[in-house]
Amino acid sequence: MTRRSTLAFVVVAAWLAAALGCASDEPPSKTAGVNRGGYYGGTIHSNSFPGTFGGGGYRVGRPAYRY
Amino acid sequence: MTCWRAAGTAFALLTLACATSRIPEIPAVSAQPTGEVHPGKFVWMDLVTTDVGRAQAFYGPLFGWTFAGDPADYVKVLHGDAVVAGMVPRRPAVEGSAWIGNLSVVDVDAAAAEVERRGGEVETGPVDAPHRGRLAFVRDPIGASLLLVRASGGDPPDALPPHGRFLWRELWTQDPQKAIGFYVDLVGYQQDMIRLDDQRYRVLKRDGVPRGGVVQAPPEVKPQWLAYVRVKDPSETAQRAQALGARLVLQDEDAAILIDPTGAPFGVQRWDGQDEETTR
Repeated sequence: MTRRSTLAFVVVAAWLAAALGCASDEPPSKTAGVNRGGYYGGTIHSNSFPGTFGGGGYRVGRPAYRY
Repeated sequence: MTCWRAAGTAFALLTLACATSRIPEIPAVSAQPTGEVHPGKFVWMDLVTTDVGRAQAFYGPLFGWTFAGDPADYVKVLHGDAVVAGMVPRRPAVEGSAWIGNLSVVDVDAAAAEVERRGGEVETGPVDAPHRGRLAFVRDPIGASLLLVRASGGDPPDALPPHGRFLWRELWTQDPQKAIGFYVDLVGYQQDMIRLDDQRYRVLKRDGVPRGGVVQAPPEVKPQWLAYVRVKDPSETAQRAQALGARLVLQDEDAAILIDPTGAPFGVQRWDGQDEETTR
């Protein structure tokens, strides 16, 4: 392998590594500004209402009264 | 030399692909520039979801919404001719779907710094987003996610939303006083305590205009801003939502809370608006 082809191989290898990183699901970094999660990178709660509840114990939604 | 050219071309293409994939196109919060600024008002909603296609199949028939855009990037939600919200694929594909409110602030950078100073986290930004403006995606000190925004075209004017559009936002938290203290400092809310049928409900106002509510959440509910869509009949809507794959969490006479098939909570509510000229 010539020196030129070796360098070309290194460049392509670096490109492949970058490509894999671009497509990965690793957590985004806020320091990147707009990151792999788009504008909504980071953690969002899942299963935030795990159960069913109520039974008159909660008054929810916009109240209808004169402010 | 051929190898060098090929490698260089490939590298340039990759850089372009990565750059474009990181910056989704999101629309302005107002179709036409308004020049208005309403700190403390939720001016937009985006559904960040693990499955945009499934979300469209659910919300389309439920609220009469239609959709435009690339499901892999950003989908505009239309109600009639108006773009009223958006859907964003969750990237990276980790847990969690949620409706994220965009809260208007005067200075996004200062607001993001205040979030961190009070123990919250800045997840993304502050950054300038084409069309929308300056924004930062944050988790507030109690753990609820929201987007802080200074809309480049101005905030939408206050108006009574028709059925099928967002009516109200409500913060669920185990620590209402801490949450209210934070938002009072962040956007200048005033708190109004209402007693209805022996129950208390906290309303957050700014300049006398109601902008959201606060609910004391049970321990199992995670902190979050919950968005309500105005509907004619919440009971009927809840029944159709369940037939479309939603899970019912809570229902009373005028409102219901549901979990959509992708895991995002939302509310529906009957609102006559008879007590005010406008709902904001």
